[in-house]
Amino acid sequence: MFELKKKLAAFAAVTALAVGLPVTAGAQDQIKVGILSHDTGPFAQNGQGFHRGIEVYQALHGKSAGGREIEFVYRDIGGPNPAVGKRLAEELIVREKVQILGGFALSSEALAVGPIVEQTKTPAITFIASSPSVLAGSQYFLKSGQHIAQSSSAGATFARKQGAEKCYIVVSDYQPGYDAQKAFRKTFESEGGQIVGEVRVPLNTVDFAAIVEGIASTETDCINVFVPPGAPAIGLLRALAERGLVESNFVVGMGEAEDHILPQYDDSVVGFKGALYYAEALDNEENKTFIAKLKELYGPDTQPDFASASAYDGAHLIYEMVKSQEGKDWSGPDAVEAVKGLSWNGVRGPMKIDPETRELVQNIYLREVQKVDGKLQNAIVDQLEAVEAPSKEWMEN
Amino acid sequence: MEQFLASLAFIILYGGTYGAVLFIISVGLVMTMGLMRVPNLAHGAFAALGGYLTILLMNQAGANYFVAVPVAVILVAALGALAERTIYVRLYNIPELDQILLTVGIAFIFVGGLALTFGPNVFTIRLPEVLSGSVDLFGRSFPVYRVFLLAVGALIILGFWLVFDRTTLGAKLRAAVDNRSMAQATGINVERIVMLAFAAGTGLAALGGAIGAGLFPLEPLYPIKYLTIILIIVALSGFGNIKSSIVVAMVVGIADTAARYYLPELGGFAIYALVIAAVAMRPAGMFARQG
Repeated sequence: MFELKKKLAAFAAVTALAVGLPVTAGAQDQIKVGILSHDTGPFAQNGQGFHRGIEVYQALHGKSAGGREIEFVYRDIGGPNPAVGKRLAEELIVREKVQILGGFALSSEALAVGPIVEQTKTPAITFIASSPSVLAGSQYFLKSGQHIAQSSSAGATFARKQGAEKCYIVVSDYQPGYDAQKAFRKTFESEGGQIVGEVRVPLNTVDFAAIVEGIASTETDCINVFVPPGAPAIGLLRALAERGLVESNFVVGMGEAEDHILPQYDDSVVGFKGALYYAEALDNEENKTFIAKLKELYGPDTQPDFASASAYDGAHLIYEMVKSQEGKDWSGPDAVEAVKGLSWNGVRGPMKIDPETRELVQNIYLREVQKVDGKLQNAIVDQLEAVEAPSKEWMEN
Repeated sequence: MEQFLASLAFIILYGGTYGAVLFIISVGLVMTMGLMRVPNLAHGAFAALGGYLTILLMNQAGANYFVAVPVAVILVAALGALAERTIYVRLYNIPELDQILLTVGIAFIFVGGLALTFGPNVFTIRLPEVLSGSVDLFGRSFPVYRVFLLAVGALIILGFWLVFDRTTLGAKLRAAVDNRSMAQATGINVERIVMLAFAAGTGLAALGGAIGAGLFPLEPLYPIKYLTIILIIVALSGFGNIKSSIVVAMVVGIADTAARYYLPELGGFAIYALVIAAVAMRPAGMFARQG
């Protein structure tokens, strides 16, 4: 009998550990945050942004909040590999005993980790993953990035505002590409424009000349693009520019030509536009402080990007969640509940968590690549305020 | 009709340039596969290195494009010769699986090294003024850069033809590819030939990596990312069959471009269909002698 009791106790302890229940009662004085990052592989740029955004936030706001010390633990997924992301998330929760998860460059990672987050009631903040289905994965998911349709639809609205009538859509052949394509098409058409062509380009495409040739043979005054940053984005934009289409069309994408990528382009990229929730040139206090500290920590040539900005705003959200539990036993679900409806000024401007959908309500900026004093940079040429994420029904129909 | 002719001109010129770069990058591997029977999976790494060295020479030493590219090519060729004498020479008599493991390991070392040195981002080589404009050909404008690639490709092909068919070195090389031990028995210094061929092959890969950067963007994953297409050229050419590799590279380049133009959504896969068909019907190489 005694033996059995011992076994049961051990079993209970193991299960408690496995599902991440607080084993020790009472208020801990430390909160551990696990960041699923990419320090190697094709998305290492995003991982670098995650590290920098968080480190800048800590440098500015200290390493504790609400009476608890906050420690970040990083794990490298190293490529588009949801299974590795899932394994690392388990390891972070079970072995490292993190109370909050963050990071998530890709939606596929967030989708894979969703069930673990739900089971262990661990709040998780996706910095970039922007697929409409991410938040449905668990009620404990929050975002510091965007819903992909916020930027895509805004791109279509901006194009219509500039008088674009006939648009061609080029997206990469993967889920985010389809979502972006759908949102752009729906908005552009509902605002009276016409989509004259759509093409999904295989992800492994490096030479876009043939695709661009197809667009050039169509009558367009607007081209919408959505391809992953890096080689595909550079290849596509250069091919468009080479064919003279950047000059003759309203070419709008998202993050294909952020400031730190611009040195990879020549002047033919001038005029390219990106609709996104963040812009390096934003003239608000938070962004100025953020950039100043970023340059102080990593050198004067360092430039912010949407990854570091999202990580910074994500870190703020994490700090707010920890603050909400001040003086109480840590409870993940309570922390998530506490920040629903929270609004604050991030480096991207005013942002708010919609308490119903948990999506962000935020501005979308239209940025245009311009040449100022011999240097290429993005200028903000227009903006839409307090853009909400579309409903699930809107995305599906 | 006019539309059709314009698209045809596009496919031939763009597909041709694509094929030319593919040929320049792959021919070294075709040659060394024939000579050494070592599947050098690190071949793409030498191409990447050529591109990155060009960037270094241009950005750090302020070299002109037309100086930086040949210097990078010579440096990589020298490194290739050194690597052949020190590393690859040990691979000739070991099992194939070990050869693959070792060369793919070298490729991964390059991937890591490039990421560490240059960061994870894509690097572009700034083209000089003369190459950045466009010219009118077949009634439409084409970028000078593409014409330049075609010209370099044609020069290399001409050079190969001269060396192979018209020089003693070429004859020795052909002899070594066809029957190594017999060549050795007739007094040909096969070791030296192998080293020269390896250096030439890596040098050409570096040339392809440098001038072809506009088509194959330089990034740390380059050595792995473009390995497939390089191996496709090698597989379709047959080991050591240089003349057929010219035709194969052009066919692959033009077929790929045409497929991407006419069927953009399937275009990326059309080339694999071609490979499957070709390998199934002519396993020794697309244009290999039968029997």
